[in-house]
Amino acid sequence: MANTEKSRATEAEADLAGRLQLAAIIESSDDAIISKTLDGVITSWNPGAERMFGYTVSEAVGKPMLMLFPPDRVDEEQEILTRIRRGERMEHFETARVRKDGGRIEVSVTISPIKDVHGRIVGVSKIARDITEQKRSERQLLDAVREMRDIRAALDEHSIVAITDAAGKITYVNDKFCSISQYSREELLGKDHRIINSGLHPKDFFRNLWTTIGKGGVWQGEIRNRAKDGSLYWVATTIFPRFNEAGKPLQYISIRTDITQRKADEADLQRFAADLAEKNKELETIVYTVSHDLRSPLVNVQGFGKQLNRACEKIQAAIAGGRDGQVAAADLKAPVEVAIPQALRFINAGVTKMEMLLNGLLRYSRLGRIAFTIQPLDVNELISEITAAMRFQIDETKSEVRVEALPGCLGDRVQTSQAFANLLDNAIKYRDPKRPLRVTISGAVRDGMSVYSVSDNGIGIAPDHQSKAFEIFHRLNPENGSGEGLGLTIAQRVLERQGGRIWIESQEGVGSTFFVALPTVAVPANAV
Amino acid sequence: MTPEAPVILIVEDDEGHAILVREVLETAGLGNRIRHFRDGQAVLDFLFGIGGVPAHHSGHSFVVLLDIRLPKVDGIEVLRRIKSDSEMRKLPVIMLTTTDDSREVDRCHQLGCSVYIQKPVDYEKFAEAVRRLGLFIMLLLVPPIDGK
Repeated sequence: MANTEKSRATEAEADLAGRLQLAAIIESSDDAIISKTLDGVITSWNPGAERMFGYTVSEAVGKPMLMLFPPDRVDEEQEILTRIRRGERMEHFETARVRKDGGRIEVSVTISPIKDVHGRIVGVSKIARDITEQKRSERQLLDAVREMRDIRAALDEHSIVAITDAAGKITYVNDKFCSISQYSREELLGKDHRIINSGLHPKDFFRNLWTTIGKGGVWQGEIRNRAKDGSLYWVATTIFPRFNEAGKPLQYISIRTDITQRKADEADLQRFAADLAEKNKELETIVYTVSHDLRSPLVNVQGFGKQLNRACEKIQAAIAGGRDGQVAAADLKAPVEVAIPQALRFINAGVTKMEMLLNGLLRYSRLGRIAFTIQPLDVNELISEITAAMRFQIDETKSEVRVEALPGCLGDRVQTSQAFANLLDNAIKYRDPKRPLRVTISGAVRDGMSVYSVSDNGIGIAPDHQSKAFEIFHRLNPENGSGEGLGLTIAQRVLERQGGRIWIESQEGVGSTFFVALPTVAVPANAV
Repeated sequence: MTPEAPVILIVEDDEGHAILVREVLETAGLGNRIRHFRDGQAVLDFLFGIGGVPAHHSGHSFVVLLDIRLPKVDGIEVLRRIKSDSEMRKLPVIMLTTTDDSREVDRCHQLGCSVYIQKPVDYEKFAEAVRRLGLFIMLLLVPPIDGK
């Protein structure tokens, strides 16, 4: 029995030691460990609970557990007690509680029934852990993830995005990348960017790009790429390298914007600026020429005006010197028969010339304001109309005009017709009197342009004079008939405004060929 | 044998201008012979001959009154051709024109024109300029073209 007693004492000792150990664990735990009655009255309160909720043991024990519940959670207590009474256990139940100072904390609680030796439920134990901080970081993380997701969505809305691995293999492309490159995602993933390389950048261009991003730098530039169908597009590109903690390249993120239109606009702008500079130079030349040509008749008007003055003075002197109203006819003869008619002739010619120049100038300036109707033209029909209208001139000069089959073109009917009529008129005007005039009109399509030639066997133009043929008011042969020196100038301006061109090849004494190029009409594929 | 007075070559497409210049020169008392050419090609043909046949001007001397804007070959080109010929470059060339464009004036001087006179619209000024030109021509000892 002594043995039994001894073992009992040992058992009691062991039990006490175990209880003390448990008490020590409870004392030192960071978690709040609380027990309460089945009515919800607090029966024990560890230092962890004291730190978590701010109530001391004496403030807490004997008080209802409900004092820790925030107003919106008071219903929980009834449910907890009901479930405990049924012997259930609640693990890691996340909820909120209120501290003594009113601060709300988030807690994870495990609630279990306390049973007596007979297995009856006599109380409730509750272990609570403050997860306020953990919850806050979770929320922050979630917010950060959401923010990243939205930023990425915004980026995808605006930009062409691709990500490659360190070796340059594409690991991600967004819809915009697929759409502009015309490749499907499946075609792009695993490939590198050479798939869209246009071959239009020098090798150095990409070498510089890789050097920059390989060293961890951000590369920015404008790249011309080739889509699947072979068409080209421009992208403003930023490539951002990502490195791992060891400093090795991890990914390259490229963000691009389609600037194809901007590039086209820039090219247009440059072309317009060049055109404008060209037009300005032309205008300067015209102003220079016109001012000279207007001044020339003015010199005559004033010079011969003075001659009229002197003639008047002579007549007045003769009258003053006459006797009994008789003036010697010889004294009047020179001024009246020579000086005055000559002066009047030049003054009148000068005035007529100035009027003609001004009219010509107005006609030229109006060209800039004419609204053109560009349409497909049947040039064969156009030329036969012109030759019909000029039939009298052609027959009168015993000329022969041969017209070959001509391609169509795009142009303004009236203006193009006038340009051709002018060329034919010039051919007749500058024919060689020594031989009958032969004019051949032919045409062919070259590089998208219908090129026509009007070729004659007339007097021709010496090389020195050819460049001046299109100059305003320039007349190659002023003695030769009428004309204001505007025909070719106007033809040139009209053709250029229609996207065309006119030029000349000529050999003095042999003949001239005028070439007219206008945009050709698109030939249907089945007609080739 | 005293050298004969230089022949004045007026190269002027405007007949009125040519008459006015000629009258003023005569009024100023210049007795020189005057020849009138209506375009640049005509005076070049006269000076250099036509179609490779050289002109014979041995013992003659000329003064050229040259307009800039001329049909066929313009005055600047005529000036350039005269001044790039080893013989003809001796000829005094007087540019007589309505142009006052400074670039044009500079170009004429660079090419070696002797005098540049702007044709003033004002007749009195014009007459005065040509009159002084006449004196200038009289004073000028124009070397005759060497015979070849």
